[in-house]
Amino acid sequence: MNEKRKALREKMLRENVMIIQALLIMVFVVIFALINIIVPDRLYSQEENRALMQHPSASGRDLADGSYFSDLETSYSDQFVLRDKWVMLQANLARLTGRTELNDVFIGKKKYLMAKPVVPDETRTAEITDAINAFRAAHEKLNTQVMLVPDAANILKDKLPKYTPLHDQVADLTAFSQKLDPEITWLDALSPLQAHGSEEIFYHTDHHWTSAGAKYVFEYNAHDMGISSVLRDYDRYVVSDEFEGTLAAKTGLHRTKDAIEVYTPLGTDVEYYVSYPDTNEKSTSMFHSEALDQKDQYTVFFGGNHPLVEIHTTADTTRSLLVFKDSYANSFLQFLYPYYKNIVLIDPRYYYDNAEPLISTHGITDVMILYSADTLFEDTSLADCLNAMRY
Amino acid sequence: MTFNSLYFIFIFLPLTVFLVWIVPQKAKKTVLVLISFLFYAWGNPRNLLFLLGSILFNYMTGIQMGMLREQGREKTLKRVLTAAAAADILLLCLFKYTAAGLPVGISFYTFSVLSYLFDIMQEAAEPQRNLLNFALYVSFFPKITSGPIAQYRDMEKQISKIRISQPQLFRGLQLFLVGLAKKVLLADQLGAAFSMVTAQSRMSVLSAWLGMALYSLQLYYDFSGYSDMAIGLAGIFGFEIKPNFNYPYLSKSVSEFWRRWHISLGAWFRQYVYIPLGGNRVSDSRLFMNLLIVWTLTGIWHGSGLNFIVWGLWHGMFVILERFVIKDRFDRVPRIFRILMTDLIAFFGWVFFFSPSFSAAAGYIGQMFGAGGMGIIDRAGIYYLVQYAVLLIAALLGSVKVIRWLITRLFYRNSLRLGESALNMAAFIGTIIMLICITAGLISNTYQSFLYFQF
Repeated sequence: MNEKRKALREKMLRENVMIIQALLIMVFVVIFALINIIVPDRLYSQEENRALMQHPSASGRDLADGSYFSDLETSYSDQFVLRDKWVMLQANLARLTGRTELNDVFIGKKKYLMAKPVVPDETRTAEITDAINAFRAAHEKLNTQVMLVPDAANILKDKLPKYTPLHDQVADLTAFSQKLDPEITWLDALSPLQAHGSEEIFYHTDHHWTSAGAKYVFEYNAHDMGISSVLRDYDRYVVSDEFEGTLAAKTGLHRTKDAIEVYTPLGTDVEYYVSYPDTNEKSTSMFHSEALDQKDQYTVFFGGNHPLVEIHTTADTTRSLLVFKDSYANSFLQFLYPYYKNIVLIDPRYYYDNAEPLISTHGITDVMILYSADTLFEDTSLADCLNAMRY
Repeated sequence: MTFNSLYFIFIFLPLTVFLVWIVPQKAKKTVLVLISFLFYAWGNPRNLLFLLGSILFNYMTGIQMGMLREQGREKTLKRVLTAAAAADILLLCLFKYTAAGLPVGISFYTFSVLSYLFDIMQEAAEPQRNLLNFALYVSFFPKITSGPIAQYRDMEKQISKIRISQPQLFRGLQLFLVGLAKKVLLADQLGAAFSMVTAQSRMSVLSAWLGMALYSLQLYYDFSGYSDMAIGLAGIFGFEIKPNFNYPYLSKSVSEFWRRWHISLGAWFRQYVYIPLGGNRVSDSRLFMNLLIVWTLTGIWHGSGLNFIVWGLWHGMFVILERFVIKDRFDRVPRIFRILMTDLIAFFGWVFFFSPSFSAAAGYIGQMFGAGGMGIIDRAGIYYLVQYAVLLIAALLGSVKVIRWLITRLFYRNSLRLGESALNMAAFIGTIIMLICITAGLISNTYQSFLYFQF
């Protein structure tokens, strides 16, 4: 009898729970469905750095091939209320269950986020080294230099999660440098970064190096770059202390904020102005303070990536520099400008012209290829850009 | 559209439920069929044409079979059935073995229409004269893309009159939530873990076994979660569909595994292939052949590659062994060992299932025994094990009923000495947390942050 009563009670309890769950589901769904209707749609996601899908309009063709319906689904998830907050919640839940890697980003010690190194593809790397060597062969008079910056994970190994199987990018860099024509100057970014591994040489929340990291690498390599009297005193300004970079966005983890510093060399009266042919703008500073009001504050350097940037200085020298680069170079240039008459920056990812004429118009004497290893190993545009210059 | 899409959960489903509930009884069936067509055409309207074609063709075949039966022309009846079934199967094979873009769910709905034809043949059901009823049976959206393959004999009564009831709605919603949780909180995470572990160019023994375990659990939660959602949805609209999974990883033999895993498929093959071939009331050699046929077909149904046939025969081999050699000899072996043995066989079989080809499967199995050259235990293996330890343990416990047992013990059998209101409060909070975690998971699945500009 007692058993029977117990069973009856259990049945009743289960029924109660079922009703509670069913009602909650309905309430939850209806509430969020309504909120999603009320809350206005967003055009762009700062966190994801992309345009969000808008509510599609039904055209005959889109209906017929079904793309209208898939767009409808995509726009619904893109426009879901508090989208970024949900992602943040999910990231933190994952971390709670012991995950130390999210979306190809390691969640390191001391609140460091570090991108997973790119594993180079051999044929692609060969294309790049071939293109660089061919460029050098066609431009023997130019002093050609190559610098690849290793990523944070390979430098700050002690801050990686325990047991992390880390792809050895140092070996990739060595292999890469050995494939280059011996006449090309290999600039070593690895040693100075390793030497200063305990300092703030990489951002905690972003995949770039800091100005300090760039400074150490510059000072270490200045001699090989043919710069004799290096200015080692700077005015240092902290222009932001609330930078949350790409890695924070990629993981959805916002645990800390970074400071951004800019440097201006002391003991020189060299002045410069920067011109941006793509927007026809000119500026007397490479620092763009308006970028600090935006999400990606790293764009304080040159306002982000441009196909072509020219820096003209009052330096008393005949040397001019052409740089093929990714965004790593943007914070490197603050150390370079006093030593060149003209500096031309080309970002091959956005630059589609033949760069050859720039060499004579700007009296180029030196060429530098400056990339983060992660970008270069995934890149196809540099080889195309260099190859185009031979014709 | 899948059930685990935000649009489905927050727009499509509530609107459908609302619509079906408010329209008068007479119109409910029509509405449900139209919504099912919309659901099926979603994302690829071309597929709807094949579905409509199949519905009409098999509807007319059924009518014709009924007429032949009335006229007592059994021979012609058999011929008509054979021709129609062959046409259905041929179309399925045509899609499976050519690169023509398999219409969603065609493996499932082809088996549904075959069940209809065979049921008429076996006199388990009458030919359906109402086209709308038949269209509902084939296209009913909860089951069309991934089953369960409900047999026509079980659906015959239900499709003739739709009876929506509140208790069924509530039970359906609860089951849908359970299925969604399995899919989003476990299967999706396990799937991500599996791809990460197996993305290594060479795996240690630890990594390879971990990958196999992750996939085995992912597949279980993915499929059983989806089945739960389907059965729950069917319940919302008043349909009763039998469970498709019953803790398969608790099976004590491979034969039992197949009575607990994808139950509707096993039942289909038993009902329409195995029993018509004579079942187990035949000579040993004939029985052996019958089993071989059933398991080869089971393999082929899952995919067109050699690896699927090998996978089917792998299971068939153990079923045959159990039948002819082992019999009841293991009955005295402790249950736990028999379960472990069965799981090992099933898990191993999944390697053929997840590998893109037979040689890839062979390569994977090689790595499970050290062919990767990374040793037995390496850093990467430990790293992934630590990363996913919580997920793996939760998934394992859930798959062998421990979590269910715990909930029953703690909450319903009152080990916690909770009063009724405290229990309800716990359910309330627990459900809200579940809903939030599921939504967070669903949104995160669509999250893609770009380092550089994307226009």
